[in-house]
Amino acid sequence: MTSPGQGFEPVFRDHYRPVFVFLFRLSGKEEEARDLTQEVFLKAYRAITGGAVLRNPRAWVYRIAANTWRTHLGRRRLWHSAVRRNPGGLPGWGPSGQEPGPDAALLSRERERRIRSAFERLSRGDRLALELRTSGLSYPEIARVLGIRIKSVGKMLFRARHRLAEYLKTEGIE
Amino acid sequence: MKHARQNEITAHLDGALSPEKGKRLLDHLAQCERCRSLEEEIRRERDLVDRAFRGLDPSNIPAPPEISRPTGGKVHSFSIPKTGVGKRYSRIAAAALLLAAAALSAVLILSVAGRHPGVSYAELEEHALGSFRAETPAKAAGRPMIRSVRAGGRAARAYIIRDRDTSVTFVWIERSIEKDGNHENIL
Repeated sequence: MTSPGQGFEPVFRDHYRPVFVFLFRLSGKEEEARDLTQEVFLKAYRAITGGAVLRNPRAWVYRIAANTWRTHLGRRRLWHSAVRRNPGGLPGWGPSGQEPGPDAALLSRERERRIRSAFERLSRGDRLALELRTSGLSYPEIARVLGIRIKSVGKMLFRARHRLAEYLKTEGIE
Repeated sequence: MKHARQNEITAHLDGALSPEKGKRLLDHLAQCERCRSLEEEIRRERDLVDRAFRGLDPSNIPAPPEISRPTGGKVHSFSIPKTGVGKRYSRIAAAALLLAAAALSAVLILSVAGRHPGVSYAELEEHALGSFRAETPAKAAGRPMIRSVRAGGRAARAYIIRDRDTSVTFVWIERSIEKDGNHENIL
């Protein structure tokens, strides 16, 4: 007889790093991505020990990750509105205080900021579709995660890339 | 054949078209300049987006925490006995437990971080777990909770989830070490 947690281990082992990268790209913050990754696998653990049957573990885990990200965005919106109400900053949450690095590091950070700014302009669905594809998910897997028809995936990816390319160009990223 | 659609070309570039559809598309592209230039444009956008994604990759991908063996590893399952507190008093008890846990955690974290730079992981984990044990009965079941304890460049993060039905609590300990200003997970 297998223990309830036994099905969890391969899912965890195979997907921990990819899910972290997926969430890091969405979040841009290592600590936040770590916490979200843990939240994803705690949910997965609970579902598996609760008897969830996994036909496609990868699509299943990414679906949890996408939903966790969506929930997190809701929480973050509340946070952002709190920041807007306190333009002087919230107690204990000042800027990172990092010292300026060498020119190359500054340029790289500036480039990353511009890329992120372009990504932020995408709709949530378009962004998730692109992130999932970049994470290596197939069209059927993306369809399953997002709850859309397989036929719609190509359309969504085309639209997302087309828009993102435009936004990147306006940010000077060619 | 009709002109190729954008989503078809996209799926083709992503390797997601069936062999028959792929062949039909390639045959058409070979004889239609308009669709070839559309394909070229979609390919350029795709490459630009791929390059942008690479610019967002993390510099440090943490190793997954060790989960292999509950006895020798860092995953612990234990049952928390029922408190025996009646419904009537449960809210008061919960509030008291929460306050006690918060005070205990603050004292532990401050004392560990402030006085013992060479503190062992076992101690850090025990502190993180200690605050959980006090807190869990008062928390809603099924909600993951996270606690971090850090000292002397070492950190232990404990994650907890309580199964509503079985009352078994799953605790997951992650160790990390500070390196060049970042925290890297270690097994």
